[in-house]
Amino acid sequence: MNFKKLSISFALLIFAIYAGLVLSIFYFFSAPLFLKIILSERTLFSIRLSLMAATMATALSVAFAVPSAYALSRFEFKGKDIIDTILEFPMIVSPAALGALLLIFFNTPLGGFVQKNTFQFVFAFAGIVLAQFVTTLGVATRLLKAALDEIPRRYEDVARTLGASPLSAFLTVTLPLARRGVLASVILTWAKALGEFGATIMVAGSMAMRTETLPVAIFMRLASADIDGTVVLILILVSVGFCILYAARLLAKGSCGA
Amino acid sequence: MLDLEKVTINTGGFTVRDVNLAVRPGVCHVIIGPTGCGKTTLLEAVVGLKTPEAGEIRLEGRPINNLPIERRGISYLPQDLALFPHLSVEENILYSLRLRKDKGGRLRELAMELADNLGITSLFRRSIHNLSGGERQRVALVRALATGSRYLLLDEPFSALHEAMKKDLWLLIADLKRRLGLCIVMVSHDMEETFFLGDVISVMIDGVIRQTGPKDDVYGQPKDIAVAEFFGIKNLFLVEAVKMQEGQAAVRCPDLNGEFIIPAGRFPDASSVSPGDSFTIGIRPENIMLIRAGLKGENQDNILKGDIREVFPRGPASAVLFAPDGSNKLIEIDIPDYAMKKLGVARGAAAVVSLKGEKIFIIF
Repeated sequence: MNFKKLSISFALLIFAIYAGLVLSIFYFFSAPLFLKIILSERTLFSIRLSLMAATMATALSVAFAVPSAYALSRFEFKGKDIIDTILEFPMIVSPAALGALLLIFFNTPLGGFVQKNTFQFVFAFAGIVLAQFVTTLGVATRLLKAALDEIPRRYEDVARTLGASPLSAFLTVTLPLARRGVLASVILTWAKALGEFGATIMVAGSMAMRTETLPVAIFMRLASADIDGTVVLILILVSVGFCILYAARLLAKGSCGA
Repeated sequence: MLDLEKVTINTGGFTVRDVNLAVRPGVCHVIIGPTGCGKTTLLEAVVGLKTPEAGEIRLEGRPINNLPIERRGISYLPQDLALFPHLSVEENILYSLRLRKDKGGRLRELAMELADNLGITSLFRRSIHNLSGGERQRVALVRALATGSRYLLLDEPFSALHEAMKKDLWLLIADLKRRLGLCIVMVSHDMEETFFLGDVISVMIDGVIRQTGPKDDVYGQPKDIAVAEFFGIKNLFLVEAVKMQEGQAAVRCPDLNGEFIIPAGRFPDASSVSPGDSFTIGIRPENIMLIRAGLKGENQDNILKGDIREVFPRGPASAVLFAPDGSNKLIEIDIPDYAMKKLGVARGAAAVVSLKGEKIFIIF
C-alpha cells in the first residue's frame, strides 16, 4: 500500500468512526416513540431554551468578537500576543473548569455584587447564556479574525482616501467583503453554543424545565436510563449540527470577498 | 501646492530620509528609483498611511502630518488599484459621494463627465471582475478624481499593463492634468513613463532623494554617480583638469588614454576648478559620434581612435562597445540602425569616435 492509499484510508477511517457512532443510535431508535418524545413539552422546552440561549450567547460573543478580531487583524499593540494566545484558553481549559471558574467568581464579593445589581446568573437562564458566551468568545474571535485577515487592508486605505472614516471604511468595505467568512463564523459560534454542556451545567445546574438545554437534557435522560429520550435528543442535535456545518462550509468556500 | 520639508519615515528596518519636495499645481512630479528604494513609503506618508518620524508635509501651506487620511483631500491610486470587488463600476466611482455632502450635485456631475471622457459609462453595470486591465485603470482613475481633489498620487499604476495600453493612459493622464490643473505625484521605475509624464523628476536611491529638477536637467546632468548609474549610464570616467581657459576646460582622462575639451558651461561652477583637480565625466551613449576611420570627421573635438569590440543589436538602434587605443576601458555607444549600415560597423573594425563636449556632464 503506497502512502497516498494509506493516507486516504485514514481519512475514510475518520468518517467511519463518526458515521458509526451516529448510526449506532438507530439500534435503540423507536419510531413510534420518536414523535411523542419530540413533541413532549419537556423536549420542546429544551429546544426552545437551547435556541434562545445559544442565539443570545452568539449575539453577545459576536458583538465582543468583531471589534476585537478587527484590532487583532489590523493593528499592532501592546499585549496583542497575549490576547491572541488567550483566545485558545476556552479550548485548552475544560468547559467544566470554565464553568467552575464562573461559579467561584459569583461566590466572591465582586461576583455577589454583580449578581445583586445585574442578573441572577447562578442556576438561572442568564447563567446559561453567560456560560455559553464565555466558552464561545475565544472561538468567535479567532474565526472572525481569520475572516478579516482574508481581506487586504489596502481596500480600507483606499476607502479612507475617498473620504471614509475608519468605521465607515470597515462597515462599507471590509465587512461586506468579509460577509461570507463572518456569517460562517457566526454559524459555527452558534453551533458551539448550542452544544455547550460543561460550563452550562456548572453555572446553571440541571433543573428540568428550568435550565435544561439540549445537552443537559441528554445528560439527565441518560442518567435516568431514558434511552429513547436520549436517542431522540441526540438525533436533534446531530441533525442541527450537520445542517450548520454544511451551511458554514458552503459559506466558507466563497469567504474571500465577493 | 504640496510641500515636503525634511520628511523622514522609519518603517522598521528601512528609513526614507530628509525628503524635500515642492509640487506645484499643474505639474506632474515623478519620483523614480529602483525597486525597494522607498518611493511607495514616501507616497504613503503623504496620503497618511504612514506617519513621518520627522519633518512636515504641507498641503496649500497647511500642515497635514496629523490630519486623518480622509480629511487630507488627496486622491490615491495604489499599484493594485484596490477597486472594491463587492461593488459595481458605478458604485465604485460614486463611492466617495456616498460619504459626503455633494452640494448641487457638483461632484456627481464631475464623476459622470470624467466617466464619459474616459469612455467607461457603458461599463457602469459591470462587476469589477469583468473588466480588462485598461478599463480597471480608468475606473480607478475616475473614482479617485470624483472626490474633487486636485492632488493625485499615483503608485506605479500602469506597471501591469502592456505597452500600447500604457501609452493610451499616459496621454489620458497628461490630458487630465492639463484640463483639471492636477497636481500629480507619481512613483515609477519606468524611464519612458517618467520622461513622458514627468515635468519634474526626483531620483530616489536607498531612501534618499539624490536629485530633483526639470526632466531635461536630471536626464542631461546627473548629479552623482549613483544617479548616473541608475539611468544606465556606463560611460563614467575619472579625469584630471589640465588647463582652465576662457570658456572651456582641458582635461586628461587616463582611463581612455586621451585629452578632452569641455565647455565651461558644463561645470556647475567652472571658476572653482583648478588644474590638478580630479572629477568624473560622463556621457550618454547616444551623445557619442562614431566616425569611420579615414573620413574627414576625424578633425572633430575629443577624438578617440580604437576598435569595435562588440555589437549588440537592440531594435531600432544597436549598442556598440568601443575600445580606445592604449586603454583597457570600453565606451558604450548607441548607433541608429541606418547609421550602422552606412558606417559599416562590425566587430573588430577600426573606428574613431567623437565625444560631444557640450553633452559631457561633470560629477564632483
